[in-house]
Amino acid sequence: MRQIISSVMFICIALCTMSRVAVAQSYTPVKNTEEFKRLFAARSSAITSIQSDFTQQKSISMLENKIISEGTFTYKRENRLRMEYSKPYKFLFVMDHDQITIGNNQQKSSVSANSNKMYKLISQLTLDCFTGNVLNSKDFDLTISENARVYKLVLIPRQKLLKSLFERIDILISKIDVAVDKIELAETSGDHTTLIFHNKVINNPVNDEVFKIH
Amino acid sequence: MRCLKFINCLIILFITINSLHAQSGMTGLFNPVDSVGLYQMNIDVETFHFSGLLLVKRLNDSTIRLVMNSEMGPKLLDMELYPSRYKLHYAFPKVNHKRFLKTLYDDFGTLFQVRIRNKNLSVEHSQNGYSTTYSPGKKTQIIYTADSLSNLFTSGRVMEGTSVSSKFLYVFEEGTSNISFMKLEHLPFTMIISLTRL
Repeated sequence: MRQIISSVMFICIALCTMSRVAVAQSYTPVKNTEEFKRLFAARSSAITSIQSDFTQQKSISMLENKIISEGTFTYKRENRLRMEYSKPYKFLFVMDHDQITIGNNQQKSSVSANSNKMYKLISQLTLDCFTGNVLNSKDFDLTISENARVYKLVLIPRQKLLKSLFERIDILISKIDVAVDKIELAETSGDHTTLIFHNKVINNPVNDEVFKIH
Repeated sequence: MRCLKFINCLIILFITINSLHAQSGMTGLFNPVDSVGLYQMNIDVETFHFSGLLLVKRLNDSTIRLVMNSEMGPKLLDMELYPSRYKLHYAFPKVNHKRFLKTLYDDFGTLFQVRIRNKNLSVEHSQNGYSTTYSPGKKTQIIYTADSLSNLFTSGRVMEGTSVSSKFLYVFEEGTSNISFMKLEHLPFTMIISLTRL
């Protein structure tokens, strides 16, 4: 009898925990979007730099397993971005205003941001997420929802090139630091790329040299 | 009459051994069906440089599927390579040009030895190894060179008529038949593809 009671109690506790997790993960529309935009804009404008680690998960329909890459991320106002991939391959992407430098084990090359549409698109999108510009972009239809932990922005591309690449882009913003936690890119090809930012350090001084590649 | 039969047998045996040699040069590239190879890729066309990740999946004995991705995520190209044609699944708008796709098909089809499947071949022996010549087109010949020690294709060239249009090489992991690096370089214009296995 005791065993039955303890089993029932265990199941009840497990169900309660699961339903709490489910509630925490389900999203409801943000009631006052203008207020959220003001909050996010104010918070973003106070951010001068972000340093973090990141994990990139790439799901390809052809592959059963995801390709998981890791590296470090540095953002500095205005328009400076450095993403350094360390696993499973070395790759460096640096954007210093309109100059992009990419490099791997074999070579490095610098190009104007306008001459490489793909890199420009991805880096601009990432920058716009961190600066808050994405909220006012005419390139997307935007819906905003929230749960206890995060705000979720869903962007549906309107612009032609973006539309040819992405079905939608989901951005999760932490309610603790009001900075981007996760960016999920759903491609028109059916593949997905997810960028998750960990160990964020906000407004630590970042030397400009970080964005100069010699 | 008996002598003639014996000579015939010898010729058949010689041709069979040569064909086996030529086919065995392909080991290291053609892994089991459904296996996937992941490569870091660099492509230089004139002054334009592009890098990304290349996934290569063997679908059957004569077909592979190539998927090119930007390191930062989005897919750029997805195509299947057959011995005489390709099937496009997806191409990023900026790379979706027939001539460019045909060049990529020729180059990757050569490097991954798809274009030579089910094609006639001739074998020529030298002191250091042997060369196998395939003719995938009327004026096109692809020549793979193997060294006698490893019996693996280590380099090659593509001939258009009498001139060399591209040359390529394979580097193997020490003591194995696994390719760790491959490179193809066009000669009439600057285009270099290099792949490092991850």
